[in-house]
Amino acid sequence: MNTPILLLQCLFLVLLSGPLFAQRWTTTSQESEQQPLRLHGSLLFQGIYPGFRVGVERPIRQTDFQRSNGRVNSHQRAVLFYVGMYYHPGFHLNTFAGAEYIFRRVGGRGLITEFRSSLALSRTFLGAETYRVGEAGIVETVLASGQFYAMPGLGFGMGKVLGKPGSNRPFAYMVNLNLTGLAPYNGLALPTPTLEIGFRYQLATTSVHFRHRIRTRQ
Amino acid sequence: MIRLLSISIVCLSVLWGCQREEITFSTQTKDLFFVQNQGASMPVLVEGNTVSDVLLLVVHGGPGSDALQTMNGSWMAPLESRYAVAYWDQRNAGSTQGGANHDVLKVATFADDLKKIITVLKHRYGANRRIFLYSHSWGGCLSAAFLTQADNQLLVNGWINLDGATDFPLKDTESKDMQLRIGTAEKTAGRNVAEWTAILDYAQANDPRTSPKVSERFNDNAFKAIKLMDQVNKPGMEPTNDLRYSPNSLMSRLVNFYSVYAGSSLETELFKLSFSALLPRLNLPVLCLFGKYDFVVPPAVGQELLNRISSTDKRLVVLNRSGHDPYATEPDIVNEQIIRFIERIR
Repeated sequence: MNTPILLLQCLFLVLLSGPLFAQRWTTTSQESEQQPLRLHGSLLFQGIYPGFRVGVERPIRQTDFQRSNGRVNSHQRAVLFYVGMYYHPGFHLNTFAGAEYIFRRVGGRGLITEFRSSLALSRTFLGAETYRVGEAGIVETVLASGQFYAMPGLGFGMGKVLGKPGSNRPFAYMVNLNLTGLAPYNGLALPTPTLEIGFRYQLATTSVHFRHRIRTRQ
Repeated sequence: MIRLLSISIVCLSVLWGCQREEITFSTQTKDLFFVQNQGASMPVLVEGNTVSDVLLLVVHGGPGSDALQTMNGSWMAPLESRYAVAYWDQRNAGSTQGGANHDVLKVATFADDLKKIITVLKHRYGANRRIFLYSHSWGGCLSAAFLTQADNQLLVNGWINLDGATDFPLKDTESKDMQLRIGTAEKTAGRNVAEWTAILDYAQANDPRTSPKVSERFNDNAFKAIKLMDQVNKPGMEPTNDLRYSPNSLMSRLVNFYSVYAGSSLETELFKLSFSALLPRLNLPVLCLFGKYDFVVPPAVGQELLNRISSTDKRLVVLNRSGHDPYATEPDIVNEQIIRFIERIR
């Protein structure tokens, strides 16, 4: 048997097994609710070069799995709108603004794991005085020299909800590992891996609609 | 909140954009600036003695290597104490930043960059500054492209050419000849027999002028051959500043090493490139420094350069314990020759 057919069979089995496991849970509630926006703040390190990222997270969907022991596991999806920067002296200051789609799981004990995919617009500012030579050989100084780049990224994060375990606690801290890149960078992409240490805080003053579903074990 | 953040970012950007021009005249200068040209923002680091009226402009090898890190080794200290040394990362090399610029990745664009770098150096440090090109390997080809164009040679006072590849077809045939000649002798003497056999077998079965790929394979074998020669000094590892605050970007260096070839026609252009026919135009002082065991750009290429140029002040020095990087393997002799050359004509 050749490898592609074997792979297709494995894929088929995996897809088939999904609904079988899903049948063990029953949806007991599904409604549109209101939930506060969440404020994000983090220090980031692009290699050894420091920066920060701040943003506002809008919840989109949440599914709570109520276990028989009373604990609730939560699957959340949200979009984070953020701005940030890092500073590599002599190379560039990179400022960026973008959005990130977050797939998050919050365990019964408050342990968070999440996967993120992001897309941002980056504007770099070169790390020193910049010159340009005009047609007539005249040297000019370039103000705010730098470049616009697309900044796509993938990230994985772990964290902990502080306080009493359960979903929607107001405060959580996170450690994220992000693989972002600047493109097109000299025709290719410049990898800019970042380590991020930050927090998430649920704002009490604002709220948005999101889809909330509660599922219990049959 | 978002409005406040946006305003902060804009203010930060404006402040960052309005940096003041810093030009230092001292014996321990460390000035960094960028030059923008045709989609590339190229860093130039000027180190050493800017009180002196002499400035050495490093034209690094590659294409795709760098000057800020690779060419800025401890061997440059004697030169920096006497003169100013400008380390320039070429387009798509080292810490040079840019966008999608492969359409302009041609030898002529590199030569135009070099002209702009010299113009900015004169703008910053004075029009009467005596500039010497200090080129290595591919940098020799780039320097020839620049110097043979119009009156460009009048912009510099001399050319120090270390293992410069001014004629790629000649470099290929001389490299093959050297691999066969020295390889056979080494194999007969029973030194590194297995390694030499592989190199000799490939050299006997192939012609480097068949295609850029075959030429590249000869180039790889040439570097292997240098490592096999006991006569070539082995320099110690230079400390890197990749894990310290510095204008170097390790990621940028790695990406640019590939970006200079990926999707560009540069490799094909280099395969055919020869400045031999244009070299008689040159009449500036030239010092050629070649490693005796440089299988990559053999000393015969340097001799051919001197035979063709019209300069009266020209000299070839062959370094007996060097391969392709004599500045690192025999720094004392290289620096002594360079200082003597500059002091004679400054």
